[in-house]
Amino acid sequence: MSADVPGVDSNVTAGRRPILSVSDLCVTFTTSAGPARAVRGVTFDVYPGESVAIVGESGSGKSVTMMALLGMVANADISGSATYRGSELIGMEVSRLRHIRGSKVAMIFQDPMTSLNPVLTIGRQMSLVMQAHQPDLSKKAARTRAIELLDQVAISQAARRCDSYPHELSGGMRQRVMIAMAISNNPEVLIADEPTTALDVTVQAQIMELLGDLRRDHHLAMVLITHDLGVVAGAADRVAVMYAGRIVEQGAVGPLFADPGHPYTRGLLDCLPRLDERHEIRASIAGVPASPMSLPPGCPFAPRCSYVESRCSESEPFLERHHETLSACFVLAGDGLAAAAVDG
Amino acid sequence: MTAIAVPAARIRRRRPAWLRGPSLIGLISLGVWALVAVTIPLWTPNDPLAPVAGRLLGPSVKHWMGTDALGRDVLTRTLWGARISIPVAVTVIISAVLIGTIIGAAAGFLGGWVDAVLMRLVDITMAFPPILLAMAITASLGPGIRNALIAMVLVWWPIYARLLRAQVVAVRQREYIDSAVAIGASRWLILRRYVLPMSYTPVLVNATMDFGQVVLLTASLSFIGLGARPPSPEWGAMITEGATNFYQWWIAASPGIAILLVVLACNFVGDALRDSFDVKEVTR
Repeated sequence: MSADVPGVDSNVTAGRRPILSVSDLCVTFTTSAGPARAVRGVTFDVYPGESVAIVGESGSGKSVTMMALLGMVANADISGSATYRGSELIGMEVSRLRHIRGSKVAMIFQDPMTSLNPVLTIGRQMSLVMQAHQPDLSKKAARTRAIELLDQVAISQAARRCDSYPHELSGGMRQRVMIAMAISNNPEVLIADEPTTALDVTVQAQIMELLGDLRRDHHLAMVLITHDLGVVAGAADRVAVMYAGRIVEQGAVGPLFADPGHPYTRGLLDCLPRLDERHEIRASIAGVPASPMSLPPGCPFAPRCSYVESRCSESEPFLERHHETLSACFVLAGDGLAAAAVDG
Repeated sequence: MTAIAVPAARIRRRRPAWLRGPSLIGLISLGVWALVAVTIPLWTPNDPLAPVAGRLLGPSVKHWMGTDALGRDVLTRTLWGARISIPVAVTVIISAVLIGTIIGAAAGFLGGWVDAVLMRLVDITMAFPPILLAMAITASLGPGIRNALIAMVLVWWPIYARLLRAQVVAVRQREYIDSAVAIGASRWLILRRYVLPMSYTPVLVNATMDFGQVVLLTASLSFIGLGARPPSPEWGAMITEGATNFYQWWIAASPGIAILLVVLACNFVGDALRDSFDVKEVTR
């Protein structure tokens, strides 16, 4: 995507190239009940040091998108392109891809309780991961570095914890270990797939703060996959909202929260509790998410949309400018500004 | 309220299940058999192959289990039998586990046509009753303890291959495997350090129990003349000799009891090991 995307700060991107560039990525799973179109033409860029959030409900294709670009989606048709510093990731041989995973683009997963190897001490598994990318790293040096990293992610008594097994640690500590492991080979992009979903709220805040600190210290670009808009507001520079395998709205955090250009984004924001209003019951978006097995013709959000018009079920809208964001909606974006004004 | 007081012995950390009760007895008994197998030449009461007294003498103070048709001391021969049965069983189990591990891990981890081909091979082998297949293989290779050993390995590996494959397929789906892939671990590293250690439990438990079964199968093959041949003091071969002297029960009973003790010990240990690992799985 070109640099004139609203929300991409031209000061940040001026003369710089995206570190990760995804364009028109499609992932289709073949199931016994027919093709499931999990991702349908996703396009976005990540610039060095930037934090991009991908937001959406379960099943909107956000995790699959990121798994696909690391070559971790099996038994699916993948088309389109995803490049890391210009080299194409889609279709890259596993042996080459392996050197990108972890050392250039690292990923951490949702559930820290099940993401660590239960039969190795955390120090040992961190060492193994480091040695996978730096074969001449000695056992002793790897251990020293592991302790250093555990210290960096604020694990107390790092030297002792190094010899603990995962079951001896709490959920928050395990997620810290996962993060330490992910940054152990100095990647440039960190993909965090719902890093705080499985943790309780106070720990969530600590983990998000830790990720923010690491991002600054290591000049990491981060892709944050989440369904929690509260997390997005504090941690992301830019947001892409996904629905039914597509990005339906994209823009900088501020404008997108202040003036969303897609009914789905509005719906999501309406679900958030606010301090300055008193509501007994929070609004929710009626209906169920569109199934990737049977997408409605036209806009996939139309069946749940309160702005729906007849043209919405005829063809599918593409991203168009809506004030300061890009939005895929006939009604609100493009020529639909009047409707937005009325609603506001 | 004395009922609330917990005896001090209860509070003490309990030994693992495989170091308690029947399993401990089993372990000790296996240990004694192994010790006998290794050291019998140093303290053997009699020569196992030479006549030492009259023929077919009943149990007495001098010859606890009597003598056989050639006047050899039955107890001495039974003890020497451990020197054949135990090394054979150990070799068979280790070889079968090794082959089964390689085949099972390859099938489970690689999947696709490799899995299909290897598992059909396993199916074919397991379609025959083990004793029948072992007999057929030994007969075609020629009778003898070495050929019986080869036959037993060929019969036994598919059990471990199938067990391990099932575990590998299940463990491969776990989330920590994905997260290892995502940070760049190679397939070999993942198989070795992430998948296999988590898949080995059922193989270990079964190998322990099968140890007794292999001892039994060795004796069976020898009994029908396909394994060790007389004069060798192999338990199965000794029972064959005893079978012709029906009223001199001690000749067949002595090796029979030896087999019983070994098989029972293995089952005790295997059962306890399985219980131990089950608990671990639940509280993981």
